[in-house]
Amino acid sequence: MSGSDALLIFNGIDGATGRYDISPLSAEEFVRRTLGTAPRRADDKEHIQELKRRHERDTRTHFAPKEGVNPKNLAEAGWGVIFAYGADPAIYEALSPLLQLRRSQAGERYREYTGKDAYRPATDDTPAESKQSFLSRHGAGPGPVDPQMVPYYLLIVGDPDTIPFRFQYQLDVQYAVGRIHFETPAEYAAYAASVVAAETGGLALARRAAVFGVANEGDAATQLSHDELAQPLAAWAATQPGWTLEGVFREQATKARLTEMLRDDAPAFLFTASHGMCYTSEDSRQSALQGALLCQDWPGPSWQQAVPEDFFFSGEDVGQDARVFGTIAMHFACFGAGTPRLSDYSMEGAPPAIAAHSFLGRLPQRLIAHSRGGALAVIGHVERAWGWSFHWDRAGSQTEVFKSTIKRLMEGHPVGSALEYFNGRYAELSSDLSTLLEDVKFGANVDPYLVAGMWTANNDARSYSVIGDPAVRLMLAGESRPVRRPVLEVHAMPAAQDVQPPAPAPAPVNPLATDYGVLDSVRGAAASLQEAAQKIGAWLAEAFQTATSVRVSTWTSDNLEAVQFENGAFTGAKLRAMTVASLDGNTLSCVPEENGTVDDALWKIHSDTLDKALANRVEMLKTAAAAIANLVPGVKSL
Amino acid sequence: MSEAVGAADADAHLATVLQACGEIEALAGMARRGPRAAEAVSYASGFFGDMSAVLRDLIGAVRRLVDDLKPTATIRTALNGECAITVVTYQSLAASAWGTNPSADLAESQLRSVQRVLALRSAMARAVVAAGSAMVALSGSIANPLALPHAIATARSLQEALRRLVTAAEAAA
Repeated sequence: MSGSDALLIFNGIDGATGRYDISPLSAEEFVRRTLGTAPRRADDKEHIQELKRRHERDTRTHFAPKEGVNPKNLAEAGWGVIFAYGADPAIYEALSPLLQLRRSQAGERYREYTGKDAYRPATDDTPAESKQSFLSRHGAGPGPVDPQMVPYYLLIVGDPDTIPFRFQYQLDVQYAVGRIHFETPAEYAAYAASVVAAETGGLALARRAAVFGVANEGDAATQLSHDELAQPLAAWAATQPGWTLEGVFREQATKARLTEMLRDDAPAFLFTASHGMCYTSEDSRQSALQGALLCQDWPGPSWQQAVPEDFFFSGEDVGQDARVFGTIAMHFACFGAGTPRLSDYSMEGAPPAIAAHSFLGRLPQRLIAHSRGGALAVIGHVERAWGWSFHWDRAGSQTEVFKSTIKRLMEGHPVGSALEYFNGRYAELSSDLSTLLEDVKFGANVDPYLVAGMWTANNDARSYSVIGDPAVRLMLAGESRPVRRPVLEVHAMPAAQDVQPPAPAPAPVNPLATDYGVLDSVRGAAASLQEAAQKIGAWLAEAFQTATSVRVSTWTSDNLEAVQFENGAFTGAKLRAMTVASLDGNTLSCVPEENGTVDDALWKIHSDTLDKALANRVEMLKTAAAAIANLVPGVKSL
Repeated sequence: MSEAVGAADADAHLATVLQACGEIEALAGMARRGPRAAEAVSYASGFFGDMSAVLRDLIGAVRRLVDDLKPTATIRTALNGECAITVVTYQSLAASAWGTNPSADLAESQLRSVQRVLALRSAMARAVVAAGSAMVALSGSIANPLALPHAIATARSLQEALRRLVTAAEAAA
């Protein structure tokens, strides 16, 4: 792209109007607006200094924590989790399996930032804590990451209103940062279970990648992203050793096709390039649909009306039958990862509010918290994505950043470490841009298109974020490791306070019909448990089959040493009294007589025995009922 | 050992059996209910390895318990030269043989023993049903990685409670 007379066309389609979220601008107008993004706050200036240091470091070394630390080894790089002060304890509990796993992997370099060590959100009196302030509290300063002080991998847990995107961007310059936030503890638990199962249960995905490139009719933005980003990435990925590539482009890149790809067996790595859906803060659909992927179904800018949901793929479209366990996805789309409350696209003056609250995209949330095994991470864009960032002349090698990142993922690098190329690019562009903007302020005459391009590239690189644990990686099959993508049965786990009364026993497991997922090793154990339980049921059925009547008999003998009990009767003794009491209440009694009169003493013994036997029958019938309800397959369905 | 002391011991054994039975029933309830969030804390990693052994031991313990349940129980009481015999079964049969003109003391003593044995057998049957119910619930839970740690912990507790039950039942017999 060259020439300052060209209009800039931005990624993002307004779902309510079907028009571009931001109208095309001339480069001059764009620069006039972007000048409002010059540093306004003290921590912005600190951040730019940090970016410059990062850029200087990157020009001397490669991206990584401090020298000698292997980012693929958590015991060296460390892993930490950052909660907001006052976070719901149920979230911590729900994530405990993941935290335990990471603790075992990172050892002494495992950290939990909770309680007084937690992130300090804004209050009525104090602003939200900055990155520098947070790191200083924990003994770390600017420069390369020293994992002994603060771990390289940092998982932020919380919504972006409480722990702002700005903190995440700033932290991400040096550290490998990811974020999760869900509405319910059950979703946190589901994500934790997926990561634990993926890393400890033998998940081994086929080395299969897919590139989904939309090019809507008459739409310069997606034509460009298709031609200059999706297609080149697909061509490059197809040459990666051991990998197969599925390219889904133009007419093929429909919502139906994307649905099918995720439902049948999602690729290990999925890259999409499209518009992201945008809604105004007044629109009730914003939190659910913002950032949804607009597919080829959209006829293009000629469509001047509300965009129906048939045209885009949203979190609501991630069905229960989706098979995305272990996938890592990367979406080039507006708001694909999240939406800040205030726009980063700052006009003059205060930045405008574009949402009532900052929030994460519903699509990545649904993908990673899927109950049948979620995607491990989604890389996406917070705020608007910029179509020129991979094309702009000065950053012409921007696709190299994508390629380098994807290559690291394909090689099994943790996703946070793989994304370092974007952070390095951000540092470089920010450093250059800040110098350029200072020149403009002091009256230098610069090419507005240059500023526009640099600014868009800067924002684009900064705003790529990991939704998920930054330490997750693709769990891939190798030559000696067969492909294995099981289906998990991760059930929503109630929070402690939501525990329901004991439910009826679960339906018996049919080992032939149930996919135990990564837990194949327990298939036999489950079957054995079932078999043993059924044997108990059979034994009880036999034991109680005649318990519907109580039979009490009383005998006497002059020589008790000689009596024998056989077939329900004593031999060598005389039957003196007998009672048979049926369940229906019918009772038959034979009363003992001695010389024509009732033997009261013996009758009392008999009656007392009968009372005890009747009381015992009540207990045994209760037990039998419990056995039938809990052990006999199929009874509950009658 | 005096009769009073023997009866006290028997009552204590029965109380132990009933306590173990109660524990097993509670564990069965926990197994059916599934984990609370907090209960997933303890076993996040490394639980796959020992799971099979735990479940195998549990199944073995339940099978032994079932094998130990005798179809009939015979209660004999000898007191002051008198004797009484009572046979009870799970089919609600109770047959007693007495000498001529049994004393009230013998009758009271024998009936107390019968009462104890019936309670013991009832508790054992309840424990077997509860253990079986827990096993059905566990067989579903172990398909769910999130519920697995809870299932393993429950299975371990169940196994221990069954061991105590069998020990107490042997002492009470």
